[in-house]
Amino acid sequence: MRKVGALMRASWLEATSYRMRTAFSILSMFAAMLPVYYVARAVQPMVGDAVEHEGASYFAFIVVGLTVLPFVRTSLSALSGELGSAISTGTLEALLGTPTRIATLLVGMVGYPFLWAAIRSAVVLSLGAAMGVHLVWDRALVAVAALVLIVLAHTAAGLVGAAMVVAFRTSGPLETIILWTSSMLGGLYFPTQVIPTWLEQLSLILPLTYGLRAFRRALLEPDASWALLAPDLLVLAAGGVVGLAIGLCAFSAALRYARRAGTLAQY
Amino acid sequence: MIEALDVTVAGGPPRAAAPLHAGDAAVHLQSVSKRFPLRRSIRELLRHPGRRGYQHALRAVSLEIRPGEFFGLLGPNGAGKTTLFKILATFVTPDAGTVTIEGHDVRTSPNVVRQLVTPAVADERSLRWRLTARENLRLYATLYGVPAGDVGRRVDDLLRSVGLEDTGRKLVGGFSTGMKQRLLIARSLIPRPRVLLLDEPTRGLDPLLARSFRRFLRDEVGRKQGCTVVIATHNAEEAFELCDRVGILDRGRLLIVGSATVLRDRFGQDRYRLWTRDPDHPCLDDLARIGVRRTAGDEPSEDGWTVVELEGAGTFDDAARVVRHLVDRGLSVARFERSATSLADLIERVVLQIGGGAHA
Repeated sequence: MRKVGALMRASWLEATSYRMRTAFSILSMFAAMLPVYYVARAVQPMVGDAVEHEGASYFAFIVVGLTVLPFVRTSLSALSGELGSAISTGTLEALLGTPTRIATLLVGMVGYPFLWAAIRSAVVLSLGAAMGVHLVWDRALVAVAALVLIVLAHTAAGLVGAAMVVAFRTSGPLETIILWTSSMLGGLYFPTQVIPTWLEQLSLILPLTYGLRAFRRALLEPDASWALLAPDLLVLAAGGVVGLAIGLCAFSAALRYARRAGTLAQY
Repeated sequence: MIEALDVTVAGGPPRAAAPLHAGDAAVHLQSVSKRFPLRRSIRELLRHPGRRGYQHALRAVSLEIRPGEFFGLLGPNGAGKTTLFKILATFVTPDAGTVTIEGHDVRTSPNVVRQLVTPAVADERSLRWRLTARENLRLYATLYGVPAGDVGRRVDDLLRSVGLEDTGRKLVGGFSTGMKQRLLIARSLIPRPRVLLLDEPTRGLDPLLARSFRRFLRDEVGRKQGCTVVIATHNAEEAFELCDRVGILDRGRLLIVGSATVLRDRFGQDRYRLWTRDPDHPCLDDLARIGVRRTAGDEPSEDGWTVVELEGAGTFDDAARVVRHLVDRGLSVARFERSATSLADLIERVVLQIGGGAHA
């Protein structure tokens, strides 16, 4: 934990050394909520029925979606991004030279991006609450559990992307495709009921569909029972476990390949 | 073929030359080979999909480095030094052979090896440029497992030892090349390693700092900590003054291992410089008949004298015979002295005589 903390602290110091960038990034979080609020009010009459069982208000629906989005994006691309950057700057070789387990290094490298994602999500949710979204705080722990499962399920794809960076120096279009498909069809911006039927079938294989539905119901539906939440959480957990196993195997294979080919820390 | 020569320690007593058991050696390599696939163009790939070319980075390298020894790796670019370093640091897996660090195999116990070996990454980009020197060292002190209570003191000591204690809040990105190099060195010394791998450690340092760093390495890292140091270098002072022994690599083969001064005596003590007023005298060309040849182009000296370089005069007795031969034939000789052998000369000669090939 100490090593993870040290890596996170270093990333924090690096990020905050760019003061203007940090300031603009914080300001943008606040500025982005206002147009969302007015657009949501305009769209409400059209999608009101579709979001009836996920908070009833489209603004609440989109606020929860935007709360989850930073975590999905970070789970998918932080690992490959941090590894790619460490390879190109040469810091990966220095890190690998220390007696630190690879898993610890990876967690430490993505620790700060996840912390930043958590801050962004907290700001979005707080602003949403301040602008009229009614949150069910009693089931906050269930919502956190759903969020953790969403992160694990998408980290599986992030690990595959990281493996591709280690082996081929690029993750290709994998992360973009998953992020785009999930955000369009996984119920992030609009309910899955409003998309064409054949596309709705596609949304059934996306972990985000189950994760977001459980997360929204936990946070926005006061009457949502365990019986309603549990199936989504179980599907998400099962998918996450299988995905993580595949991701870890891919990453281990990529490390072995890079050590054999001599490209582990090569630019 | 590896040729073993006398092993002597610069400024110290002679060491026993008996071979060590793999577990007793600090670093032990047995028939280590590594090859990398060559990159092919799309056209080649389409024409001959099954044909694969390889570049041999190391070919059956066997070597043992004793605990506490300073060992220099010499050789032209592409000789295999970096690959050898990366294998020792567990970044690259060898194709064949065994590599052990204090008895631990790099392939089967990489985590243990990483606790024993510290590779000093020479690239200044591996530093975190948006952090201060102190913040950089604090990070790596934690990663190297320095106890939390000792981190501050250890970092202060290291900053002082490399002369960076006054850099304060200045970010590393604003450092000069030499300062960054000193910080890299400080970083590599954090864990007090059993085996330290240094790749051209004084590159970018001014001569005074380089000398003081060599002294620091010898006294603090070598004598006090008993650390084994493997140095890849192109610097003559490091090879001749710091290293107990050196190994010369060429095209993946370890050609020779021995004390640098012994190697220099054997391979580099037959060059002489002669000052004459008549560089075109025919007797200079006659020298070929007694096995002596003119090497480089003549250099004009002061007052009309010209410096002629001769090679092959061998011992001082041979040199005296050459001088007598020239003087008897009427050549005016003002000065005749043995040339200092540079590191480049030594490497070139070893490569030519043992490796059997020359480099462009």
